[in-house]
Amino acid sequence: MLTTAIFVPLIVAAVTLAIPAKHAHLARPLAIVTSFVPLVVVGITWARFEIGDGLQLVESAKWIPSLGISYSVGVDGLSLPLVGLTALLFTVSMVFPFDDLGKSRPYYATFLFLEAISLGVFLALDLILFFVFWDLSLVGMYFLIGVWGHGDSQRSALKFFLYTLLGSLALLLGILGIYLYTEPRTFDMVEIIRTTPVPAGGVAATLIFLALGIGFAVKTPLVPFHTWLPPAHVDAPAPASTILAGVLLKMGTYGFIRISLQMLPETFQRFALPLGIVAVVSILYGALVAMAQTNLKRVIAYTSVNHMGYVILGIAAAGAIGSGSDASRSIAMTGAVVEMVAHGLITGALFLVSGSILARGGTYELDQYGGLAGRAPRLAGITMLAAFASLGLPGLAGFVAEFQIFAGTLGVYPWLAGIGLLGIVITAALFLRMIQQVFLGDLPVRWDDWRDLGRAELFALVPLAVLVIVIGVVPSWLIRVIDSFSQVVARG
Amino acid sequence: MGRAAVDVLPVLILAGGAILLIFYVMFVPRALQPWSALGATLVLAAAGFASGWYLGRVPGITFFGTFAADRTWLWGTLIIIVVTALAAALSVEWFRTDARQGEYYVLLLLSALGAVLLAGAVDLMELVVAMLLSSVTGYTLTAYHRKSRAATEAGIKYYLIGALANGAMVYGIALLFGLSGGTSFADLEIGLVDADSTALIVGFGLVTIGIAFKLGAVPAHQWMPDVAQGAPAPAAAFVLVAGKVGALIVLMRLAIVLPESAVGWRPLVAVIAAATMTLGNLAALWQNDVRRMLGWSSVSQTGYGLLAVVAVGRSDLAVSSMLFFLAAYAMGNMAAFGVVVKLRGLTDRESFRGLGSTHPWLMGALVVSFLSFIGIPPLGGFAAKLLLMGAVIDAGYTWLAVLTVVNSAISLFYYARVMGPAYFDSAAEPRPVMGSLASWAVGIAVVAVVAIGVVAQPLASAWEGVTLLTG
Amino acid sequence: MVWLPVLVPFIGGAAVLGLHRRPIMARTAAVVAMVATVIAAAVVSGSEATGTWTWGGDLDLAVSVTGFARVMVILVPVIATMVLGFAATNSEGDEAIVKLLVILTWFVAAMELLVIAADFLTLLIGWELVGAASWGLIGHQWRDPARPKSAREAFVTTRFGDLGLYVAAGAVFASAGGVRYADLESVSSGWLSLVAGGLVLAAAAKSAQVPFSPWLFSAMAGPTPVSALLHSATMVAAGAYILIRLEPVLSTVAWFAPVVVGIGLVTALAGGMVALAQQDLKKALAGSTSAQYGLMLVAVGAGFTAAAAGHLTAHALFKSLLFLAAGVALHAGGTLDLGKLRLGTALPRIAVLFGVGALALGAVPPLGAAFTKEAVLAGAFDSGLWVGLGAAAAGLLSTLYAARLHLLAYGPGDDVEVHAPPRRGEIVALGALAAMTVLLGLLWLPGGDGLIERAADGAILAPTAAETVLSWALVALGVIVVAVAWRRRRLVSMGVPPRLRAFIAGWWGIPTAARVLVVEPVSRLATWLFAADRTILARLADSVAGLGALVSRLLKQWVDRLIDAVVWGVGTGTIRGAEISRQVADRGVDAGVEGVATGIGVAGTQSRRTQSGMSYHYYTVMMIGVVVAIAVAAVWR
Repeated sequence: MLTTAIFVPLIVAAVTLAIPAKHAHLARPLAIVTSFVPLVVVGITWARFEIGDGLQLVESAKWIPSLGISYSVGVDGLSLPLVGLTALLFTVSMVFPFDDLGKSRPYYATFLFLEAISLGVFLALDLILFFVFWDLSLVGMYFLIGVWGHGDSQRSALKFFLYTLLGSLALLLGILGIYLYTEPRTFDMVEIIRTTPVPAGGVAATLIFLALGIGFAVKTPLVPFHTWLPPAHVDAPAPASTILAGVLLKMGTYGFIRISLQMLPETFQRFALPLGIVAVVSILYGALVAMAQTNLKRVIAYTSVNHMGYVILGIAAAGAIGSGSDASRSIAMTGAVVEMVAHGLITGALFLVSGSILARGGTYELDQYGGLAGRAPRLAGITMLAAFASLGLPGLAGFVAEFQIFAGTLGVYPWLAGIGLLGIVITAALFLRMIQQVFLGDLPVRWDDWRDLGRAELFALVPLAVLVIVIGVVPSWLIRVIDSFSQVVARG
Repeated sequence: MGRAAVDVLPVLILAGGAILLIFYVMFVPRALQPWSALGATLVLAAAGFASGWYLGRVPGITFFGTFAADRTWLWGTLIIIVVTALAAALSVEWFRTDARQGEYYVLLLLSALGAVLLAGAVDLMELVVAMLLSSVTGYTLTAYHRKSRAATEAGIKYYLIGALANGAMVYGIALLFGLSGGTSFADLEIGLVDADSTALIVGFGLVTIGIAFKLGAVPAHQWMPDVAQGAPAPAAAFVLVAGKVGALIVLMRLAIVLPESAVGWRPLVAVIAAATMTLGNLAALWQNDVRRMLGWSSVSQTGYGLLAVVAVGRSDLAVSSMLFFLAAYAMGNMAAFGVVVKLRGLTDRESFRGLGSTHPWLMGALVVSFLSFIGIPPLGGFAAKLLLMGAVIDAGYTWLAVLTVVNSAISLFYYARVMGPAYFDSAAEPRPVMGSLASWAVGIAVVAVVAIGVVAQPLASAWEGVTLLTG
Repeated sequence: MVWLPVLVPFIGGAAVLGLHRRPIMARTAAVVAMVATVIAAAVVSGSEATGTWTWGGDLDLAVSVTGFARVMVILVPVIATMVLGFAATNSEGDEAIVKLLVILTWFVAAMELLVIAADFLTLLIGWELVGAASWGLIGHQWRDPARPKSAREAFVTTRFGDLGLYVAAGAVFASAGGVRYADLESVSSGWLSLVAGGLVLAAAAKSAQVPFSPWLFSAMAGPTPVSALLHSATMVAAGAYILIRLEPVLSTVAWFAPVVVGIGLVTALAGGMVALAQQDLKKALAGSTSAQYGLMLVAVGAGFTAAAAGHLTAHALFKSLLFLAAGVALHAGGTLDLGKLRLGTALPRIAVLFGVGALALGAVPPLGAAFTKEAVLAGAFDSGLWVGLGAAAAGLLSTLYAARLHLLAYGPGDDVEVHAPPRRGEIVALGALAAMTVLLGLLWLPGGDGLIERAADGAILAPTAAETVLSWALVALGVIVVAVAWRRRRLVSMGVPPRLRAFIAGWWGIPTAARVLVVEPVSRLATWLFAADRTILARLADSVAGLGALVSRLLKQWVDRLIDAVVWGVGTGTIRGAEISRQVADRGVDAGVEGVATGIGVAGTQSRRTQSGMSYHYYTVMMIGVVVAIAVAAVWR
């Protein structure tokens, strides 16, 4: 069944390309309808998910058995929420109205392709399969940014591709390193997680950990590997930004948990503190640099660096077996995963909103706007909701995540948590300033005929907003699932 | 003798077929010349079937100990045959108006024969013969368009470098012969154990230069971009690939018989690999001529392929990684050059602008071959790189794997310089294209590139325990 | 059911929002919602009920109405009812009155959640929601660019304090594995110290203690009802409230008492002087708010939480009264400048009501506020003579500024025609608050102590005779001093030189210090980091790429052009190349392939114009390569 979620979009992507030119208008409805298939699969999976059962609903088939490579997919408390997030974000990104420059067939085909690939990354239970999806996500995003971006999009797309490809090749080296230690040779993730074949403490383990770490750090991105992110976001079309921030960045943090932490637990523990320090640097750096931005999308892009820092901080704390209590590490992990989901929803919404603003105002420069709250209450309302969620206001999804991350980390690395907390003050300041610059104050005369959000935009944004609130108020359904995973990891 | 002749049936078929084709070309009227392509294809098909049949009963060392008819050779032969057949298919329309086109196919067959012999050589003398047959036909194929300045220039360069390299190799062989007292690899293995180290090193170094020339490896690599740019595009595709298949296999055979204690061939090959991939990539970076860029990228691919040699004897992935590499590289290169052929030799980077919308299928094929070269999964190039890097890490040459990674990332840049404008810039006028035969060739090559990665299991299991005989 | 005090105002707010097209009904609904909240709170208050809300994992949200919460849960909606009643009839917020009422109602809901919280997570949720609501309220008039800026300053300042609460919650969880108040018992001493530190930080920021006090000035950007609610029972009260609740456990931390007393005393004195020096009615009241909460903190630090709780209650009543009356003054007089108001003659009834508030603020017996202030004073003396004297001085200051404010704002003046006479609803709200302030005087009756102790679930100390005398004497002194100053017409300036007065009135330069020491360095750091990000980090990646590009460019030139043009002249190069190629060809293996020969021939003539001079160079490269190769094979064997 999980396979359906991957292959139906993939097949329909090919079908979309093959639509005759005179029926090109069918591409959009076809893609949107198709994107509901993974959503339905996630729904059924969620209903059938057994808490505490580890990996389940596994489907596997032989692929290249002589090399220990198989096609194997399944979900657990870590991947299920991310799969759900991916399915939802792709649907809303496709629903979101977008000028596809008359290339609607390739546009929606690329989107469906990327959806299948992204789902694959989170579902894969074989390292090679994982890497296949991982690398293809770069290709899909490269074309999305390059073809449908604006500004200096060719350069940004290439920079994105080059930088993340280098990261992913480092990851490949790490994967190979693990593979060479397995006996008999296998890429089976479940098996590797069970046996943790790489001997801890050696040079090899360190090198493998670093290779994996660089691969994931580029994708996450952690400072100082983040420089590809701002240009990619600024020049990408809004729906692609949503996917990039909402889904692709999660692959990095997912990799840190699934591969670095679960496959090299002792080595991870040795490097947990340095990783935590890098995370705190990312938190503060991302927040501070975001504060200095004058461009709406850059603000959001840098807050992504900040928020992914929270996630990594939680993961680092969770992996520091031996420090703090099991409960602290478990809650830190849960917080990190909730943050992944929350950031996906919130930042996804913010990027879509920035697309709406660009479509109407033609620029991302904050000082070109002001006083839009009166003209566009719906736009203002959703943006403020997302901004408040992003700055971690209770009752919204971001808080649920950040509280758990900090509460958990405090029990493991009190100083890191304390310093990292400053990030939430800075984000508060910068988001309030952003709201103020765009929505409050005087309305420039030229925006007198500013349109509020249209129906299609609301169709895309409201589900995100609703989920942000639901997770903020009733998080138990989500935390229950994630916690089943965190407990296991925290016990070491 | 009869027994030995049967053991190398594919060789006989190729040789006999080439001779028959010469007669055909000599005696039929001009109007019937184009059919020589079909003739060549039939010969290739027969040789291919023979090789396939032999996979079931591997003859082993044969022909008086000079020839290793093992599985590696058979697979190498199959790759060469497929490449030759695709080159023939690409050539049909390219040479349509050429009055002498029959000779071209003869040369193609002979050149393929040289490469096949090279892949099976376990004797120094046979190595020389194979090398020369492969090279000499290569020069001619390159300079086939006598009226074209670029082609003749490329032919000369190719020839000049080849002459020196082959000369060096012959000196080296003389040294090795003197040291060991024999010419077969088996003799070398026994005879070189106590040989004078300095002479051995010099001898091996010189032989390496000869093989490096065929591979397009540093320091005898310079002909590759010139040939890629100047030779007739189908011939370029063939010349770049076929020799490389034979040379890589024979280098591997030669390397494992040498005593590592006396000659540091492993680090030497590692350094050559490193230099080759890096230089090839860096030189490709700013090329505005797509064919020349492909030539340089071929150089860098050679560098990757050499990783298998570095790992041979230390990692059980070495031989299968080499075969994966050869297959994926060969098919990728045929696809990329096939696209160029299909676009009637279009080679200026600027001319590729917007072709993504006007020629979606063709550019799609080009993108697939490029992505395979970069090593994007699940394409053939990825499978190859995965195994190559696995093999060198296994062999203790992790730095070489790291360098491969860096180079792969660099290579993205120049491929993207073609891909990006093709898709990101607004549509141009459709370009004139060749007929459908070229499309079929491109299509087969692209499907193969994808299949080598996706349907890798048959290949992986066939190559898993593949043997590499040395006599 | 225990959730009702939160749910009722929350749903009420949503209902008001739903009625935004019918302003009259919306206004009515807001007041009704508040009254319903009072009823709900009263019901819950007696029930001792508890409730939980599952969060997932090891956490759930717990609420209960125990201890001082039983009073607080009612006090908040009672005052809010008056304030909303005032706001609903007040004309100040007309333009978007519904929005104001909605946020005010939700503000109350968040505060009620904070009050009934039984664990740190719930507390934090309420705590931060109160802060966020205050942002919306302060920035109510958002079309004026200055107001959202003030709202942001207020929110960011208090959120900095919220970090303390994050730390406290995390520390409790780290040590006890849960976040309930009850878990505090099992928190180890090191972690408890961290909990106490976090709570003191959070409380100091929320209750506008030094050095966070100036955010109250920013909060002045909001309309009057906002100030009235924010300064009395909600938001600012939260800091003192949580210290009162948790003092029994926190006091086991050695430094807790002295630090809290210190902060409170400094704020009481400094804030009192700010109130005395201010020339803006609302800002003067804001200074007095800090000062009064400072006194409550002194009582908490001294261990007499009931005294603090009593004073909090009394303060909530009279401070909302004073602010609402200040709002009336603003409307009527069109200004808040204390030098220009004196509305006593024009608005005699309001002057009386304001007077009641001022008397309470000045701690004049027999008002309830005097009783609670004396209890605070007694507690202060109990913890030390100097603390007691300091508190007494702060008490004197409060009498001084209370009397000054009354005289300057509502003292006898010209019988001017006011811009906007107060509406009936406003007067009713003021009257009710004044009545409650007066009623609190019943505390002076015997048993008042016990009542407070039971209500606040804490201790109170009856003042000694000497303390009572001192206190009353200071009140009298204060009144006399103000009267003299009034006579001499120096009440506005209080005889302090203008620059010093401006310095004190501007909160002792704290805003400037905060700007210079915190805000500007942080924004400079942000700008600098951004510049570094663009110029160093991004360039670093680019320059690595650039290096490769440079090498490759050099290579390309070297291979394709440079040698050609510079080293070998084109002519000689080609000729030599041709010669060498012939020689090689002669020596070469098989000249039989005619094509090559032809090729060479053609090239020989053609290459005069081309680049085959390079082939010579190729040989050089190859020979170097051979040498290097041999060296490598020799060195690494």
